[in-house]
Amino acid sequence: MTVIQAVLRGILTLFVASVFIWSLVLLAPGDPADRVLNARGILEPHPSQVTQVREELGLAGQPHERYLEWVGSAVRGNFGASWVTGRPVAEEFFQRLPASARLTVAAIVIPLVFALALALLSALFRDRWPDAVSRGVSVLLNVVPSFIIGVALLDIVVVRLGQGQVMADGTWGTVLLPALALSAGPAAVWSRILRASLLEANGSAFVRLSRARGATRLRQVVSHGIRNALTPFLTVIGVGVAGLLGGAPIIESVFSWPGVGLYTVEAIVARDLPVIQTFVLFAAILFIGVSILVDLLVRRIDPRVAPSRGGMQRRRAVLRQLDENRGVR
Amino acid sequence: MTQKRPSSRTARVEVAGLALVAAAALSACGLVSTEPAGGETDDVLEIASPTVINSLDPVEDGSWPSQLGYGELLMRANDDGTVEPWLLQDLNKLSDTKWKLELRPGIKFHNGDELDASALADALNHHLKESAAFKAMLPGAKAEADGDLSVELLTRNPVSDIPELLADPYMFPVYDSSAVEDSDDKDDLLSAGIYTGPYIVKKLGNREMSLKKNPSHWGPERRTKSVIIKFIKDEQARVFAVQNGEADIARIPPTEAARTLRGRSDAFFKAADHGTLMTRLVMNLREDLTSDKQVRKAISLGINYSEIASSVVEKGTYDEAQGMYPTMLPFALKNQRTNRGLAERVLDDGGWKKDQTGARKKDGKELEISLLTYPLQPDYAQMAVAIQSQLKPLGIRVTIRQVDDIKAAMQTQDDWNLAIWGEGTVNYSFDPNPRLRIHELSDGEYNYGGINDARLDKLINEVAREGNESIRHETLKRIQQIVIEEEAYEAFVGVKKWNYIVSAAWKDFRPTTNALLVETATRSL
Repeated sequence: MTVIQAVLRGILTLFVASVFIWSLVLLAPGDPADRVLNARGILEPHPSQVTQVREELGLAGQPHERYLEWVGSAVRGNFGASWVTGRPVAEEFFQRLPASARLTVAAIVIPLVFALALALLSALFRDRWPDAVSRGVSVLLNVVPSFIIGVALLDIVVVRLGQGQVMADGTWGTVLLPALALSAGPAAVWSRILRASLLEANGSAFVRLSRARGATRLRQVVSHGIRNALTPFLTVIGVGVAGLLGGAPIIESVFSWPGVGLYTVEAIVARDLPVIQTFVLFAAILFIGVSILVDLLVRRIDPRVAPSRGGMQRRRAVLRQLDENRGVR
Repeated sequence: MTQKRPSSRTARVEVAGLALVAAAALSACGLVSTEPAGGETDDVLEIASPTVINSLDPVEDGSWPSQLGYGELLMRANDDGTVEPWLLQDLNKLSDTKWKLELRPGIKFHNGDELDASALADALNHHLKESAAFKAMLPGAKAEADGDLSVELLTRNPVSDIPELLADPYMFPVYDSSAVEDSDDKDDLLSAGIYTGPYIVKKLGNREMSLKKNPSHWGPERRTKSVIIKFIKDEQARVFAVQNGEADIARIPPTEAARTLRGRSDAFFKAADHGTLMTRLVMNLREDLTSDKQVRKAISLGINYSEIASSVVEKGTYDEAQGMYPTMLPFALKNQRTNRGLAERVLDDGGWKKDQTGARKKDGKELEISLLTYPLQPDYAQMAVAIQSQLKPLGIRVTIRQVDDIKAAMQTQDDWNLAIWGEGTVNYSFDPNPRLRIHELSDGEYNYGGINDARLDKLINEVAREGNESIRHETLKRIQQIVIEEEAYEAFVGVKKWNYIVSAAWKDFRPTTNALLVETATRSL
């Protein structure tokens, strides 16, 4: 698949995703006008207020017309005005984006470091106590939901130990706790994937050859194992980044992190459709973009999956070779 | 097969591996901010609140000014359910359709302009035109200046509850309407100084609002120089913010905090003396089973309201619902009671007989009803389970169904019998009239249970018009008799209290039954 093909596929996916999410929002029960009034602090609105807001929101048009109108505007960079604040969504969204970007970067770096450390421990000490501890930590991080970790971190680290702030301000100085909560799940998954890949690489012919030539165990793992484990690991990270975006609204809400996640949670509660649509569109673009990037990176790193003329035949040959390697183990 | 002993080289690698993990953890911990937690001084009152305030617009966001101290109302609700003049010096009824509003002298807007009769009349007329809720309560009304500080409010129909309407934070915050009209957009309102409150809004962002004391405020001296409202969405995080010194008072905390904070010294759960926020149990009169008056009465008599308030929800967060209205109100009847023996007899008389399994049946049909609840109010799920277990011994089987939007479910679905709904029976100034008109009137917009009773319609219209307070109270009592005792159109499950979490420094804060948080806190400490 060429880059152009990948981009075209991405655009098609984006279109399908946007239609699908739009339909879900329309089918959701309840009156958006009620939610908008609730978001303005009017918890028990008078019926006349509900009618007034319904008219303000222009909910009378046909769904497909509203969808097409929105797509047209979005292409021009206009995502409409928030139903709750009345301000342009693009302005409010991009104002919050840097804080979310900081959180996402931290939530990628932290699990990468932890996953690497845990996987190395497991690979170096397979079936011994460091491996058992590493796997135990992975399982624990994987089963506890991120918001529970978030609340526990606030309770233990902030309230009891007096470190950090409950109301994070969106800067690097306060990013650690929300990033830890957000990255616990990915750290667990990534470490297990990396461990499995390292162990698989350890059994391969080239690592055994390296061992026969007297390489240390650490060198065997780092020089050969990690390089060969990179392909599946990158793919998993790609999916994980999108997962981080999905988990961010909850964590941003727990830590009052001033990012697009918190903005979206408020929009969902208020049924603020323009904001929800913008977030979904952004998430879809990010997901598709990361997927394409990972695809290209993998092909760059691993010549076995690089495209070429007569690619299918060559790919089959590579796969055959891989199977043989596994058979040797 | 023999186990290979780890070599000393392997042991060194083990140590190196562990060191790597430790280094990673330590380097991560280095990111922990060691900045001190939010400023806790006597000069600042910091409030953690879930709702982001979007603007100072008196129409769209007009419920906040009086609650958060930057605006005021013409009248104010007291703790005992009465109302008294606030920015007004006096309020007099001249006739059924004419009221005289006498302003206090010396009141100024934050922009320095004087609040005189002409400014007040303009603001009232502006609000009557722009605010859907105010317009609905006073259709066709208009205000006219009558002297320097006197305004006449003329209504098309007789309106009995003008004092209560003017004391409701959700109706009419006093503002400078000419400054509002001169503002190009909502952001301009920040510098327009349109309100009169003891605090002036200096900054409004999507994370917090900061207010400074108004040096030329007409009223009593305030305890703090500034107020900061922090918008914290997560309810547990608001509690943590108080515990960590980042906030002094948390609004709308989780009710379980009443239990979890017991015995702690860093944060305290505070509830108002009386519950005022009624929780309804709407009965669907359009559905076969609950169209039967005997069934409705048995449900009403079979629920143990005392148990719900004392042991189902967190202790101290609700009062027992003894009737349709909070008991502190002078017109409230305590006519809702639990009588399980009578409930059994009512069902027997209605032909609902128990079979061997304890279930009641009539004409082969089992008495199985559905109860709607919604996740926005977690207390209601507990109440629903309690109702289910309390009605079971009577032979009434209850199926609980949680819906996303209770209003939409009641409006669009037919197959429900009961719905727990947090729509109070009085507004925030304890006025029963607006809620009666939309809930119990036959054509009321929120009459989802389908009450259609000519007697009630007549009485509700009388309440809206009747100027004589004692006659009005008698009419309200008659309404309560019909709704609860005679027809069991609705039941009332509990009366929630206003509650807050406060820090040790604000331990003496005493929540009131009105919504005027900053007004109360900065005067009462």
